[in-house]
Formats: sequence, C-alpha cells, structure tokens
Amino acid sequence: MKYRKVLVLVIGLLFAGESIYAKEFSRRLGPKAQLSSDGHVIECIPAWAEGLEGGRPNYLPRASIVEWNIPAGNPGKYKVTLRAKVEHIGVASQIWLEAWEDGGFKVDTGYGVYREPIAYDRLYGQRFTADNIYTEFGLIFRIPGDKSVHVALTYRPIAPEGNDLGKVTVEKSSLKLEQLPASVAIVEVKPDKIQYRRKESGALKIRMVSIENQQRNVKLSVDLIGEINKRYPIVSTEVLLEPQGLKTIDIPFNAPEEDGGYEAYVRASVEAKVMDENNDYFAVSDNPFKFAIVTSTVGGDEPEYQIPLFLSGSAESFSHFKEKVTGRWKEYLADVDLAVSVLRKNYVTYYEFFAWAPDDCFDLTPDGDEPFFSGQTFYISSTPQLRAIIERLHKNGIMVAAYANPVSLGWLGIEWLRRRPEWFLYNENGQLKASFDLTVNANYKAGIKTPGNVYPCFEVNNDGISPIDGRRAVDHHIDEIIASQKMFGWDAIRYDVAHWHKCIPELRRQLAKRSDPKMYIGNNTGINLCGAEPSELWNLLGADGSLVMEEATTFAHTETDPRHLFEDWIKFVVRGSDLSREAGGHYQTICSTWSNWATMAIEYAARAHPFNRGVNAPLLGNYNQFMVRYGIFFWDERIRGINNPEKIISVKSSSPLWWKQFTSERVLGEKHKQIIIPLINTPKNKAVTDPTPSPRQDNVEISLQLSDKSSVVHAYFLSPEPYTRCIPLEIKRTGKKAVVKVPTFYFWGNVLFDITGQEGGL
Amino acid sequence: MLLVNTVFFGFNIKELLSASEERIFSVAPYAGMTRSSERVKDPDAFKGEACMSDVSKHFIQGIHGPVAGFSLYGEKPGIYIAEFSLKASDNSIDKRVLICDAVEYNGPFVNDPSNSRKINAKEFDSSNIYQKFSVKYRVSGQGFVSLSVRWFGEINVWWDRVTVKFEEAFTNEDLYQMMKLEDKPDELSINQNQFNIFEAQGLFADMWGFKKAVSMINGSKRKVSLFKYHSQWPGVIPEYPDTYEKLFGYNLIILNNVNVIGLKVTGRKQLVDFVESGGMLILLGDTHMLAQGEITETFIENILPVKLSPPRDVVRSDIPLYLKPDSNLSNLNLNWSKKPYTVYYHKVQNVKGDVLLRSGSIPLIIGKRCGSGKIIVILLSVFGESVKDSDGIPFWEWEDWPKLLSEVIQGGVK
Repeated sequence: MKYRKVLVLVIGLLFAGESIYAKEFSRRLGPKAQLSSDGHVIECIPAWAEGLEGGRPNYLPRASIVEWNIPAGNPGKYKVTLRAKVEHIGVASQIWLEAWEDGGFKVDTGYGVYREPIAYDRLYGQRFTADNIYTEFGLIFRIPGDKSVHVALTYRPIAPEGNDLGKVTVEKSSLKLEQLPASVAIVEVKPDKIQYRRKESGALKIRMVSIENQQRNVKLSVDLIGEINKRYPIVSTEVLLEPQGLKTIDIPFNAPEEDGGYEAYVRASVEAKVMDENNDYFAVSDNPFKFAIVTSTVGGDEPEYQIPLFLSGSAESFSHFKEKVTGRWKEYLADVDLAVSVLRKNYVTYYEFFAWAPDDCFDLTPDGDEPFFSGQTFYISSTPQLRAIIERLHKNGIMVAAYANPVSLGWLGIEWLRRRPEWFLYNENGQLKASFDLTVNANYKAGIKTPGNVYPCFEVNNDGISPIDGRRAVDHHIDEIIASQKMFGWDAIRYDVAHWHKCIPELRRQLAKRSDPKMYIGNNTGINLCGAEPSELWNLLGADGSLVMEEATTFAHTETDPRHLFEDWIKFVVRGSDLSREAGGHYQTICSTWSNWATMAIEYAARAHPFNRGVNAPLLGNYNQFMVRYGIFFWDERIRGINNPEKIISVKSSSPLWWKQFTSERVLGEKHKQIIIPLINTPKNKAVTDPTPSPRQDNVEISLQLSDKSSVVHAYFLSPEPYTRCIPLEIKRTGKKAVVKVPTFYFWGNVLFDITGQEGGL
Repeated sequence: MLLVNTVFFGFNIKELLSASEERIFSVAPYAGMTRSSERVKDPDAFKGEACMSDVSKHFIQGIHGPVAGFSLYGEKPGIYIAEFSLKASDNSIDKRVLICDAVEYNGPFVNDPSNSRKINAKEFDSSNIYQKFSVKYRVSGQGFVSLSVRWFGEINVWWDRVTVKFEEAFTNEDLYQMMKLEDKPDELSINQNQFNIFEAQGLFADMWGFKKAVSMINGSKRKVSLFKYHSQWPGVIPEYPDTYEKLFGYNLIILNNVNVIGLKVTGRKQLVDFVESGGMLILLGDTHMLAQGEITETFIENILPVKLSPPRDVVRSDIPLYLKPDSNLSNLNLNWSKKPYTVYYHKVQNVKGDVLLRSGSIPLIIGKRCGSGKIIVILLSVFGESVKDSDGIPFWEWEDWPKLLSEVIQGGVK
C-alpha cells in the first residue's frame, strides 16, 4: 500500500500539470459495516443502526456503508468507483451511491432530515449482475468547493425481516474516489422554468468553477437539443474564471416554437479541449396538459417531502391558519419556496389546486384577504396565500389548474338556490337533486372545521334561466372563471363532475375568447363515463387538447376490480389513452392512493399522464425527468397506437416483455414517421399493486419488417433507467428487415425507429 | 372525488337498463369483503361477464357470507319480485348450495320468510346453464333494499344479473295494517299550558324568523333540529320525537322545509294523531315541503287544508304578490304600508280551510281545525330576490313578519 502511494506521488510529480488532481480523502466505515477478518472486503448487513430507528418511514436517513469526506476548498469534477455484491438480488432494499453537501438541500420531514443528494445512482437489486457476483459501479459528480461533500455507498436502514439483499460486500481494493483532470467543472445547469410556453423568453443559469490557481478564459457553448438531436444553438462565448473561482452566468434564450422536450446542453472548453459538459431538461407547450407531469402532493403520503400547510388542508382552524401561515408570513413563504423547489427537482410541470374554492361552481373569487373555508373540503386558505403559491409555481414554469365543478359543491350554493331556484335540478318527483347536512352548515357559518366527506352538493340545471336577468348558471360560472384567472393566474380549469357536457363547446369558445392566456379544460371522464369506443362524447370532451382524467383507475387496487391484474390494467389504460388522443385530448390516470413506480412507468409508456402520489417514486432513474425530455414520443398528438404490431415487429427476449400493447407510430409527414416500441419487463407477480420486478433484460433483439418503399434511417434506445439516456443503435439490415440489439435495461426501455420512405410508401 | 354515479366494472353500482316497472341489474362481487367471488368473462352471461364463486379459489371454511350484491334506495312501497339469474357447475348433488336474499333493511318486513330462497343444486335443470330463481319481497319505503346471494362452497356458481319487477303498490292504509302499528295510547294527552315547540329546520329556515316569532310568546320553549338530506335517501330529522310519548310532549310541531319521508309511515300517522288530539302542526318551506316534501299520498295529505298540486308546485309570479291579511290577522297592528310581498308561492288546487293571508285571489296562509288541533300551511316562499321596480319589500325583510307569525301560532291554538 505504501508503495502504491509513493508511486502515485512520483507520477504526480512527473506530470506536474495534473498534480492538483491527485488528492486523497479521508474514508470511514458506517455504523453497521466492518472489515472482514482478512482485511480484503467491507461487509454490512443493512439493518437498523443506532440512532436510525424510529418507526415510519424506515429509510430515513440513509446510512453509510463506506463514506469519504471531501473538505471545502476542493472544487472540481469527481468520480467514485467500487465493486460490490449482494447475497440476493433483493427488491425491497435499496443501496445508493451518492454524494451530498454539508448544508445542502434538505427537508425536515418530521421523521428526520431528508438530504437531497447532488448526485446519486440507485443500486436497486436488479443492477447487480447476479447473486453474490461483484458488479462495478461508478458515479461522476461536480462540486463547487464552497462546502464539504460526503461521498458514500449508503442503504436505507430496514428491519431484519425486510432485508432481502442479505449481506452487502464491497471489495476494498476497488474503492476509488478521484478528481478528474478537468480545469473547469460545470457545477449546475438550470433553466429558470421546467416548462415554457412557445417562444417564451427564458434564462439558463450556469454555475462554473475553476480548479486552477490562475485566471482562465473558458469557451462556453450553449445549445438546446429537441426531438432526438435537433440542435438550436443559443450562444458561444468566452468567460473569464478567477483562480478557483465559482461563477454564475445567466444565458437568456427564447424557447423554441415547437412543442417538445428539450435538453439545455452546456459545454466548457479551454484551449480547444473540452473540460466539462452538463445539461438539464425542460418542456415547451402552451397546453398545460400536454407535458403534464402531475402531482398535487407536496407532503401527503410521501414523508420525504412533508411540508406542512402548503395548501393548508391540515390547518385545523382559522386561528391555527393564522398561527402557521399569516402570523409567520415570511417563514411561511420560505416553506412554500421549499415545497415548490421540491416539485421542481422532481420535474413536476402541472399542479392542480383541488377543492380550493368557496364554491366549486358559483364562487371562484373569494372576497377580501381573510382566510376562508373551501366549500367542498373545509380546507382553509386565503387569496394572498393562493396568489403567493401560484406566483412561485409560475416562476418555476409549473402550470396551475383550478379545480372546479359544474355542480355547486359548497355552502354558498344554498343562497344561490334560494335566489335562483331555476338554476338547480329536481327529479321527476319534484325533489331537489342535492345532498346536505345543515348541522355541518351551522359549523361552516360558525367557522368550525368539520372533518370527513361532509360537503353539500346542489346539482345545477343549465337549461334553467333566471327570470331576474335572463342568465343561466353557466353564464355566471364562466364569468367567475375569467375573474378568477385575473385574480390568481390559472392556466387551466379541471372539472371533477361532468354534468354539463353540452356546455363544453360554449365554455371552450368563451375561454378562448376571454381568458388570457388561453385556459384549457380538463374533465374527470374517460372510459368510465364515455365508454370504450370512440363517440361524439369522447370527441366533445377530448377536443382542443383537453385533459381526460380517468378516476376509475383508482379502483384497480381492489382485488375484485377487473383491472386488478397488470395485463387488464394495461389494456384499460392504453385504450383510454388512445381514445383521448383520437379525440384530441390528453389522458390522465389517477391512482393516487396506491400507485407505484411500475404502474407509473406503464402509464407513461401507455402515453398517459399518471397522477403521481409521491414525487420521488421510481426506484431506478427519474421517470419524470425522462418524460420531460422525451415525452414528445409519447404525447405528441400525431401518435397513434399500432394494431397487431407483431405483423411487422418481432421482439426476442429471454423472459417475457410487454410491448405489443404500447407500440405506436408517429407520422411526421408523407415520407417520414417514427415507430416507438416501449418495452416493459413483466413484473414477477400479476397484480398491479405488486411491482416486484423480474431480473433485468439483457440481449433483447428487435426486428422491424419494412415495406418495399421505406427504410430505417436511425434507431435509438431511450430509457429513464438508470438515468435519462438516448443511445443510437446499430442497425443490421437483412432484406427489408431492420434488426437492433437493445442495451441492458431493468423495467422500462424504449426503441425508436426513424423511418423514411417514398411518397405513400410508409 | 368522483360524483358521477354510473357503471364501472366490478363495483356495486346499479345499472338501470329500463326505467319502467322491470329493471335489470348486473352484479359484481362485494368490494372489500371476504374474497368469495370474482368477476369473470362468461359468454353466456349478461353483457359477457358474471360474478363467479370458484370452490378451488374462493371458498373459505365457515364463511357463508354474500358473494355479491347491491342495494337499492328510494323504492316505492309495494310487492316486488326479484329474479336471480344463476348457473351451477353441478346439478347432481342433493345439497343446499345457494341462498338468494331480497330484503328491505330498516323496514318492517325484514324478517319475512319469503325474503330468502334456499336453492338445492338439484333445482337447477341443467348444469352450466343459466336459470332464473324468484324471490318475492315486500317494501315499506322506510328502508333500503338489499339483493344478494350467499354461497356454501359446494359447487362453482355464477350470477350474472337480477331482474326486479314491481308487482303491486301499497297504500298507506295497507302499510298501516300490515305493519300492525301501535295505536295512540288512550291516556296520552297534549299539555296546552305553554308552547313547547319542535322545529325541524331545512334549507333557508333562518329566513322565516321563527326564532323571533317564538320569542314574542311568553313562556314558550323551542327545540330546533337541523335537516340532513340526500336525494337518494329519506331525509333525516335528528332527534325527531318518534314515539307517541315524545311527540305528545310538544304542542307545536313546525316542519320548516323538511320532507316527511324520513318520518316513515309510523311517524306520519303519529303526527296526524297528534293534531287530532289537540296539537298544532305548521308546514312551510320551498324545496322540501308540501308537494316538494313528498306529502302527497301520505296520511298527512288527508288533514291538509289544501289540495296539493303535482310536484314542482312552487311557482313564480310575474309581479310581486303583496300580502293581504284575512279575518283574524286583519286586526293586528302591523305596518302594512311597507307593502311586504312574496314572488314565489306554492300553487294549490283548492282550499279546504280558512285563509289567513292572501294576495289577491292567491291564498298564502291557510289554517284548519282538525279534531281538537289545528294544521297551518304557509304557502309563501323565500325564493327570489328583491323586485327592482317594486315599492315594497320581500316579506322576509319585513320587520313585522315575525309578529305576524307569532300571531298565527298563538291564534292557531285558541
């Protein structure tokens, strides 16, 4: 060992130009790890360690197996590598290779502090080659040097009965943390928004750090890359970096005018040699539903991100609200900033304010600045609070939708009913179509929050004209929407109940004419309401890029639901998604109480927009990030599912894959189209609630039979796992067949064929 | 939240194929219960799907609960026949294999033996062919109907639908006789010394000013109950005095915009006995009273001082209806110069009592002696807004309205 250090030193002296990179950092073992008796390996059985117990959740904070420390003052680009093995390829346990800063982004979850890594690789079970076989892992990361950084192999502490990995073993000689020889590191690339409107002005924040002890001129090139590799050069400029200096630069740009996902790609060169490159992603569309990465839970069931009172559903009373929100306004806004940054970090592009209004139909414009109860939920909020949240969401490019209903869900409906009884519905016996409990109403009037599903409902008759002024309920409702948009800045309105279908065209016309920017419409409909075949109703609800939400999907978790098994679930979601697209809309599945990372991937592969209960769900990679960049290959309006794709495509794999259900084509012109083949590695079990994965997929081969007049120009592999990537594939041509070999993937990968042909030859 | 009440696969949501007297419902396993059946594809079944109980998969020893079923609300009183469409894998064994239940829970007929039909496997003419089994059951209109099948795990069974036929309607008298309700105890009487009032309050009840009106009556006591309503179920009046003893502890019952369905036939009969025994009943309200309150064809209809119009009896006048007192009320010292008016009112077919308040020819408050008590019906409505061109005010804004009400109450028990 001593000799090796001397050798490094000698080599370092010989290559004095790179000597600044030859550093050693202190390393220690974690609380449950120990060196083997022969000193060759580090062994650890992931389990509770002292100080880490404490009920739910069982994975906070993560515990180290082996950990390095890089002190402050060591900026640069680093790489850590190691070889590790597990006794069993487990599915419940997680090991991470990660780097995090002291004082970096963290959230106090109430269960301990969740620290957001600056870089990580999740070594989920399948990433290991096989049981008890060493697999090499590596992680590259950049640090600005202003804070000390920890680099570690970590695990989520688990109870002994939950450990399905057995013992984790790390080969000691394989442990390596090195600084890479780059005089400049691009520490961060961040568009100011996650989603832009077409041609909207934006700015790219770039943080760079110099490793050298002298001033340096750095050539900085910034491009946007859309589709697969369509480049939009933004700037190429010289930047002067001070010795060991950290510099932040804002590069203005205009978003492209084509909807799509884009990579902001930045390259730093010194003396014509590329020193570093880095990137981030954003989407472009005017339609908040088209690239919708959806959640409305910051907190909720995901303990990693519990940020109290973000939407104040948890406020117990007006006095509690004042104490937690208005009484500590500055601190509250800091909480909101934190919550929004969590959404942003998880590539959320769309946020819906559920049941926020005093009345979902008749009052979307609360009076004054005082806190109020929402009609449906007894949520407490206030106009200044809503404005502050929406302003911050918009600043980050997250579009916001106002939840609404074409029925009066709120106690204010009582007074509207009294004044304008013609606006309400009665059954054939003359009975009011309504439900209410006046004891709850008394609480409402007294300012007492009442828990449970206690909302009133008054069904609205849109054919009824008030004799007072000749107006219908929908006239008043539209005025409320327009006024509410002026008040809060909504991008869309999303209805939960679909009672006034015939008003939708008028609603659309009026919003197109009066809202600014144009508000889009969402509905809670889908197959549940419209049936499983195309129809006028589908066309009505899906038209004009509307959102078609399918809440019925939430019942698939019950054993008796016919969608409870993956295969049935997939058929249902693909069908709903295709019907929505054919009608001109976008399909959102909502399985908020049980969804998991597998259904999330399947829903994306099925060209839908899953409502993500947790914002950090995938075990491998980042599905949301992937869809922001490559969602255009799933959500483009021109995409249509291919019936019986096995007639032209064959997939060879060692274990079953689902692909036929998902395969689609994107026709870009008479001579150009793309075929997208999502590949889902079938889980071990059949029920949608059990995502236990099968072993990874190696050596999958896909062949595509082409017509005489067409040919494959390019083929690519696109996958979120283990990180967002797009790899060109080598195409072997045999007659009119194009054959590609798919790189190893774990649960979800996609192959894209880019095809050209003679006119009419596609 | 999903409010659309429609069919989605596998849930116990009714599917109404025919709105006439015969209805067909598909069935699905009970969600969340012991998993004793599942929905399966079956080309012989209604819509190609059935609810199946498979011995090898679903049978749990000792559990003989319903394998599937659903509930119906708001069924009319009468006799019904439920036809269960069932299929069995084996008709050779001589054993009870299923029980079909059609029961109105919370009603008086819950223990009718005919509610359940035990089915022996041999009753199936053939194995693996659907066959209908009928259950006749009675409905009082007081509860909800549950249609379900119990299974004993002997053979595989399929259930794909149930057809419900309405055979015969019950009148109130039929129900009263069939339910063998208690008669009013002879010794029970109503204390007339002080007003002891029970007011059931529905929507807009505050607008009517009973609180103030009652406060003008010395020594009066008033208990208020707030209405709970769902258009699919009978309304609920919490703490309603639902026995003769409790009811006769009051001398004035005000049903302020609450329907009478939730009182059940028992409560409605008791209320009539209450009035005839010297109690006073005031009925008023817009959305849930008189024809809107489902009084038609109940015992209460028989004692009303008006003949009701069909439902949606609240109508709007094109011009404000200025109030004009009649008989007893005309001597009151009220400020009629304010020109109180109503815009909406219950339109009735004819009057069978004394008109206390009117507007032109339109009766607005009518009273009637009934036995030794009195019933008063207020036909005004608080629907609407102030009329722009009127020089009057809506009656609920009139400062003398509570005084008028107070007089109606006090005059009523004289």
